[in-house]
Amino acid sequence: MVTKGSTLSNTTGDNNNLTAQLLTAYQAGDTQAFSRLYDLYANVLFNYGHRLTADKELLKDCIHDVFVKVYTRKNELSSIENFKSYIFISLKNKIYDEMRKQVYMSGQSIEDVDPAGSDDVEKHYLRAEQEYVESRTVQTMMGQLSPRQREALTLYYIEEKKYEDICEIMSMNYQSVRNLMHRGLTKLRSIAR
Amino acid sequence: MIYKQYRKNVNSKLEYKVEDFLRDDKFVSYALNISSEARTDRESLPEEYDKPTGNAALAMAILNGEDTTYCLTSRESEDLKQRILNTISKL
Repeated sequence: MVTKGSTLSNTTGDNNNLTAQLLTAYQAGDTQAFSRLYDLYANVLFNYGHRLTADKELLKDCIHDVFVKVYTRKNELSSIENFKSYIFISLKNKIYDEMRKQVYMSGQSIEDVDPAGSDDVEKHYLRAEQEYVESRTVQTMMGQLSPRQREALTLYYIEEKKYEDICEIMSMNYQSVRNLMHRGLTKLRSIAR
Repeated sequence: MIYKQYRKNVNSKLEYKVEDFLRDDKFVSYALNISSEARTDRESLPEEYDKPTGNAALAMAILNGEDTTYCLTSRESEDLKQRILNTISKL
């Protein structure tokens, strides 16, 4: 039985059964089942999302959007192989979409600022702000890559390792490293657009 | 096991943080699917099965609800639920 504020426990078999029952009931029109799904997953999603962003209000907004999405896609739920994977990954994607919007908005506001004059202190401050925003942008973009892609690109561009060294560190052959880096760069370019 | 590819990188200077595991869709699916297996099935896996340790184990605990470091208060949870119900009532 699901009580308010309850979270997933270690009896994953029971919880999987309960999830399946609630989904079936919800799809059959039981609106209480949707509410119980929220009770079952809200806190575990919050704990998960909190590792990705410290912005509590943003996180709550994203959890809200995920459950609204579950509600509106009721008829598609049966085609989802693993509901739990679905909602976690949906939350993660939503968080990063919102964070990307925030970074881009910050970038625009910095560019719109008119440099006041030849005051060195103000110029230095603006330059530091710009660098901070760019650094956060790069960090956010790199965060979208898989760990392996990020590792390969970091080793090559930041640590300036040679390909042979990267192959040894990552236990991959030369072509695999090249392919991994190519996919990472392609993904970065698509994110940046 | 998907998880084993992370274990291969123990010699890399870069260590995977908890967030790296949580951001990886494959790891999320792996962690949640493996948890649905019966205990006896897990125990029957070969000895060389590399049980998650460190940050990977913490990431799995977060995904499975065993870690509850961050929680909504009852009030916050109820308010959020009402927000959701209000939104869907307008759809």
